[in-house]
Amino acid sequence: MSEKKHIDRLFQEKFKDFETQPPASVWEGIRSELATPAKKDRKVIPLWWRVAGIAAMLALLFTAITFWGPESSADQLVDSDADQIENTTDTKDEFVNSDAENSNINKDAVANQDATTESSDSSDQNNSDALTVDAQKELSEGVANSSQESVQNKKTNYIVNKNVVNDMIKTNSDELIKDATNRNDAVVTSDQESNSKDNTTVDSEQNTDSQDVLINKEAVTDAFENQTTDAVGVTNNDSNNELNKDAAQDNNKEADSEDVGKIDINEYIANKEQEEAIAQEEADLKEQEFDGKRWSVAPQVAPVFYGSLSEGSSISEEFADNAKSSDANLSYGVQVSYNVNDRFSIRSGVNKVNLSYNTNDIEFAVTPGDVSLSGTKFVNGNIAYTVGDKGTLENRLAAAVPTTEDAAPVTIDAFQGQLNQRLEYWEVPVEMSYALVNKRFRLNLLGGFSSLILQDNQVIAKSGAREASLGSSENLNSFSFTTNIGLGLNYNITDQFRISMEPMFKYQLNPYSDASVDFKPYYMGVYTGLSFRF
Amino acid sequence: MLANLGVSNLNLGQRVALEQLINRCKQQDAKAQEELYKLYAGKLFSVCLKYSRNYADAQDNLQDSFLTIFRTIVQFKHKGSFEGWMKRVTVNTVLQKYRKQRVFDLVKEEQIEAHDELVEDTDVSLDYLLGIVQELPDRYRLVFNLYVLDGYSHNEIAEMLEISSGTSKSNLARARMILKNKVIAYKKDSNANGY
Repeated sequence: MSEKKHIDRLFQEKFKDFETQPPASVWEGIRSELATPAKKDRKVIPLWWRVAGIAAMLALLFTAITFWGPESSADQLVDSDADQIENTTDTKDEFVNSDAENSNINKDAVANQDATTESSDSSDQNNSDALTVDAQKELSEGVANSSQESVQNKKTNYIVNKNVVNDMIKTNSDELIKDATNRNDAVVTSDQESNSKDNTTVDSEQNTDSQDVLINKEAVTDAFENQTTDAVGVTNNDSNNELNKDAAQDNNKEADSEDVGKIDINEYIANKEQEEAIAQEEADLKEQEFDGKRWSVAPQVAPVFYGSLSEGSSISEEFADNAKSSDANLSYGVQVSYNVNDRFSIRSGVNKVNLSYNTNDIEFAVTPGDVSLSGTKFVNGNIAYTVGDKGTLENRLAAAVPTTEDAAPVTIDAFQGQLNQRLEYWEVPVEMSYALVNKRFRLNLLGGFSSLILQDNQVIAKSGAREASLGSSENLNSFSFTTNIGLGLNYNITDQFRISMEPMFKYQLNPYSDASVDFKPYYMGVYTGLSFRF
Repeated sequence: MLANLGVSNLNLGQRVALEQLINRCKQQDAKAQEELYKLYAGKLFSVCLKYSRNYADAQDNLQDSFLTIFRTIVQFKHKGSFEGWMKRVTVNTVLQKYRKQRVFDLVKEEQIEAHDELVEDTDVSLDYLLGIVQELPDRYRLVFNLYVLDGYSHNEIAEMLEISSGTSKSNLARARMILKNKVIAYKKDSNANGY
């Protein structure tokens, strides 16, 4: 009977020319989807609102810390910090969710930007088209209604979820109108659908041109060398189906079983070329794959706030119960990051960190000569200062110098105000970053530690406009560590550039050499930067 | 001139016409999109039919593929064949859908060696072959399509489906076995009917 044939070859031959027209409903579906720019707006804007929301939340938080009354500011710091951690984990979930839902939309966000404006123009035209076709009207209204309904549903959810402001509601209703008009057109086009059959018959007639095409190909080779190479790759394969058939049959007899499994080498080469051409598209179609860019460098800047997890004071036990407050300071530096894979990276760098911390309700005075006054002593040059709780120095002086009748009374000139401690560190962080969400928009979990090298340390007493430098604290370690945790929000502007915003919490492990100090300082900051990847 | 763009062998004029059509699609010109759809729907629908479980799924996949094509066409840089690019987008769309449904995470299966599956060379209808391809378990169908009909290597398939290349080979062998048995059954039936 007939010869045996490899199963692959059987399918390859049968499917070689396989082409079949889809039902008209597919185009209608595409048409109506394309005419719904609202979908993009609905989903993309909330994503940015979330980002903006986080930024706003953090800004509020820090403002609250900075400007809240000096009373209870230590508690405030602790509380707000806990809030922050809670909130950020919430938003993290939201990000994950929204990414899951919007995976398609996000990728297309940029592409659609144009579409939105375009289709709003064309919707007017579409509308007038639709009016001319009365017969289709009833049907199209049906479609429009159902779409209106679904848009409306989504709209309500949207508002409930996001507390959308009135502006947005207005835009949505505009979109509804657009939607409706575009649907009309979608149905109208089903008329035109029948044209496609004509087209395909014309196609097959013009196939006879293929010989001309081959000649042309050679003629054009010089002018379009690259392009035509591509064309030959593809055309050989698809155009010469007839010729190939014979060739394929010959091959069939000679080919061993491994070759049989493969398709034409031409198609393989063509596929390879296409692979490159769509590398970009694929990047947006799915999760960002590792693009081989291992290094990135980012200048960073952050407002930092200093606080303590406990009531104590680093200056003296006497001030443990005094109100403390923190000023906003600046940290800036450069970060270098090495990407181990697409999600995981290790980073380091160097930052200058300025910290500032106030102890309120104190009193300070130049220590009168030869008097052994109790209190916290500072010496700056030739001047000795004594600092105590507000309103205590007068009594201490009286206790230290018993008044005698013949000696002139010793007086003290005490000023009430606050002690301002200023620290300046060089920070070398070593941190790890893991991407929880790895799309164009990335959400990273950050953790690590920093080495701090004390650069400068000053204590300043302030009373109204009066400022006196008291010198420096003796109990600060010149080398200490912090443990760091944080969240990173990144957005890839281009392949090379990425903007980032990273709220970080850094807890100091051993800032003081004096073990008795019950003061557990931390600082936190929102690090923003623009990184260059290479 | 544009009517002939559905065919891959394009002369210079046709290439220019196609390029213009693509550029209009990049501007989201609705008429151009429709024209492009008409030119390529047949080819891409056949791709969807081969990779999908059934006719209805294939329609959904075709719709999603064209939406992706229209939305990402701005990124097409006129390198390589446009038709090839669209096919890749289509295959990717289907794969992504299955990836979401986690059809690739099958429990570890016993791997089998590939061997030649030969059938008698008689005529089997395309409809029947398409039917039995669609009936294959998802991953077998995808591997069979990618390797046999679209010429991807096992390494490429392994990467696309997030499986090992050994699994890809084994899946292919199983797919071939199933298909061979069904082709033989078809022939027996038709022979029996013939007598």
